[in-house]
Amino acid sequence: MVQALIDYLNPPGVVPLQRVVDNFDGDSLNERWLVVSSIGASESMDDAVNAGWSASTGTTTSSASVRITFNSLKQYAFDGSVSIWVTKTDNTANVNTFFYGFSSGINEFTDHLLGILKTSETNYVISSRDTASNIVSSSVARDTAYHKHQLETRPSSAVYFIDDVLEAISTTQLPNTAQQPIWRIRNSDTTDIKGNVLYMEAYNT
Amino acid sequence: MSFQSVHDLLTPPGVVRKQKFWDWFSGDSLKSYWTFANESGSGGSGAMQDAVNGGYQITTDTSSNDYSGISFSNIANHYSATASSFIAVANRDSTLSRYWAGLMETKNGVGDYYICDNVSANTFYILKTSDGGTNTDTNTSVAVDTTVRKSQGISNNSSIALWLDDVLEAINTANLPTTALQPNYVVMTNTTAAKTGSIRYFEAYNT
Repeated sequence: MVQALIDYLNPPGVVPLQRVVDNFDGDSLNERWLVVSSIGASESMDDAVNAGWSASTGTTTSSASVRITFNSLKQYAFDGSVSIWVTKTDNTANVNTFFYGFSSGINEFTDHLLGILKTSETNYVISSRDTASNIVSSSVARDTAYHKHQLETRPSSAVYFIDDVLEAISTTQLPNTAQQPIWRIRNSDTTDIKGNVLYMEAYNT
Repeated sequence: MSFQSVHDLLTPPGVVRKQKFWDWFSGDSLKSYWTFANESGSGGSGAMQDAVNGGYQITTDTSSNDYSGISFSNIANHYSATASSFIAVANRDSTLSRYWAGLMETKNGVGDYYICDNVSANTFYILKTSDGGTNTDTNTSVAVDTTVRKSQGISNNSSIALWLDDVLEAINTANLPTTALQPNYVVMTNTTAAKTGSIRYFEAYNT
């Protein structure tokens, strides 16, 4: 039996590339994340079965948000990397944007590859961005259930799997700078909306 | 075959799992179970890197033989000298420098240990083992360089083996460690200038 975790993830003779795995378990969010929250928003580990870590926008302001990043430490390739998120939101009606994936910055206006749920789109969408964003819809209607969202940067495309099914491919406006993991929830009014993250993994390919 | 638990993925049925940990060195900050220390010189530093596959980088102070590293600060020697393994994916970034990675009794290299040693003053990577400070060095066939490599040390009761990039390169049978060990990655300058080294992955487990 192979005893080393790394040997399950890497072929023999290949030097392992950067990777991160987070189970969002325990007393507090892992120190690898930088949290930025609006006034009135909050975040904490969630005291419930299969709840992981959660963030809430609060009711103080509209467009309130909580995001987690690697503080702009960009260790993942724009043309050969994968991010996997098991996450959900509890409200699809009052959400401005709920997204997860990779970005070169701290929002949706820099180079990125994101999965997005927003009220203006019927389904979950993939968004790739270079000088502008290219949005491609999936066939999965936005909902409040956990899904496994897998986003892959490739040399000439960006690919979105939901629950292990290929759902969307973007071939234009692909990111061209190094990326960091990012997750964010933002409300569209003063409704308190919540997002949970159970698992996150990223790696270079 | 699929596994629902990491325990079952890495541990045979009927076997109680022993100590194990791994770290990917990715994110905003070094995980708090590591302690960074300047073992010689006071101006060394460490930081997560803003670079693809950059991991965590250590920068030494500027006097020759200054060195800095990360360890479990001598308070968590969880790993057996005679039945354990470490895996490090690391490098040093330039000439006139050194890194070692492996399992050590103390964080400053005194006492027992088994490590992979990459020092620019030597021709080849070295398997270095020590019993109470008396060490045995065995050359591998891999020339020292600044390439990121996967090194794996495996200890048992009678020998310690070093694998580089999954090729068995050296075996020591003398001066083997006998006391409990902790993870350690250290970068040293061998000139009067700061030097850097980076680590992308570390795993250790008892067998």
